[in-house]
Amino acid sequence: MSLYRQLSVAVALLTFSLTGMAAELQVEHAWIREAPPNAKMLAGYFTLTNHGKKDKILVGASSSAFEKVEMHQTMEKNKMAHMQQQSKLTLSAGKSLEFKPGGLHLMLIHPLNPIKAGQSHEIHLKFSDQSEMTVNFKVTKHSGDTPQQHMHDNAMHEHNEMKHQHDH
Amino acid sequence: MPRSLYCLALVLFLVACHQSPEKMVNASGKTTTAALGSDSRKNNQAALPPEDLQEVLIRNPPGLDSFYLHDHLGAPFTLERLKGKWNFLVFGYTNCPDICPTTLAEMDDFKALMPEGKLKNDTQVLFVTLDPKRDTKSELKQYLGYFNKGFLGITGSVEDIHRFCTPLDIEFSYEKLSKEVYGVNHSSAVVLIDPELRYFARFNVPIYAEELFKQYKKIIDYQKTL
Repeated sequence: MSLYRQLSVAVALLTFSLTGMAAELQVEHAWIREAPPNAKMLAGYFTLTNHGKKDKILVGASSSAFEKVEMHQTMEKNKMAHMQQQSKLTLSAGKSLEFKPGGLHLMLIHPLNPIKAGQSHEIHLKFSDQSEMTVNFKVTKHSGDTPQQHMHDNAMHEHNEMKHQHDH
Repeated sequence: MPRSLYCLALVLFLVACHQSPEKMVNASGKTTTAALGSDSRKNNQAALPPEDLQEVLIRNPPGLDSFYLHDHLGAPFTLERLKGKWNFLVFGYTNCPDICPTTLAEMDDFKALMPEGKLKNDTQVLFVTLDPKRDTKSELKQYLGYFNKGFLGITGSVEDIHRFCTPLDIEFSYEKLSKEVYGVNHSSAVVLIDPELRYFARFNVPIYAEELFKQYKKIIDYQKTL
């Protein structure tokens, strides 16, 4: 094989493996709750599904829209709600991790610019195997903007559930 | 039983029914007066709240003791300002990313469900900050104004806030998260104080506006029977 051909094959394989990796992980309903203009901490929520055969471990996140992003879980301890920082979250093969109000959430610390409903911000999810996934989070006032949006998300979720069962 | 003894028992029973009003003691040890007769029937009805409210209603709702706090405009905030209104108290802090904004958003939706009129005017939503150090009056004003311009921020010294919270089963503590930053661990429930200044109901999060509104209307009807 000529060098050119070897290089082409290598690039093709690399691209295939990268896209293959991205296709294994699916994000649904990624949103940031719009907060008061003086809020220093916001929350990001989403559902992450691992359609692959290997477990993935989420170890952190970052965004150019916020000074820092951390993963936290709201928990009840001694009759009080408190936030427990999570340094790693295992996303088992075939399973989903749900970040939602009152539970797991991305703590978005110190927005660098005002965050308003209608905007989209990229958050990069980092995994223990050095891979990353960039997710677009939509800023909304509520978890579902319109009834149609809510239905669309439900339909997507059902579709994914069916696919999920088939893969299993 | 001999007939004379039966008659005596009946007479004694009737005499007992016409005694002066019976004193009741509620949970906080304060005495209240309840007249008998037709009111005793009323009290018997009130003794059994609707089943779906039993989880949120406080048994023998205790009256509030006096307290001294401030609102976010700097005016004193005391018992008098709760009187005659239905007061929903949300406890939290403005640096809270998850529970507090979620709850406040639902409380705004809750108020929006009420048509303009007496009910809406008599329903107050108050945000009691558990972090008066960082939640200055202007921070509270800006923060709460985003959710609803009618929401009132309540603040004071940490000690005075603890004193206000403890009888309402609301606890809070500070936890260092890093060298500069601390978080506030806190009870997340929403507390309802009735127009007669009683700790009347408690709602665990998550709050859903429509569900809360349905319960609220029933609670008002139930409170009238007391």
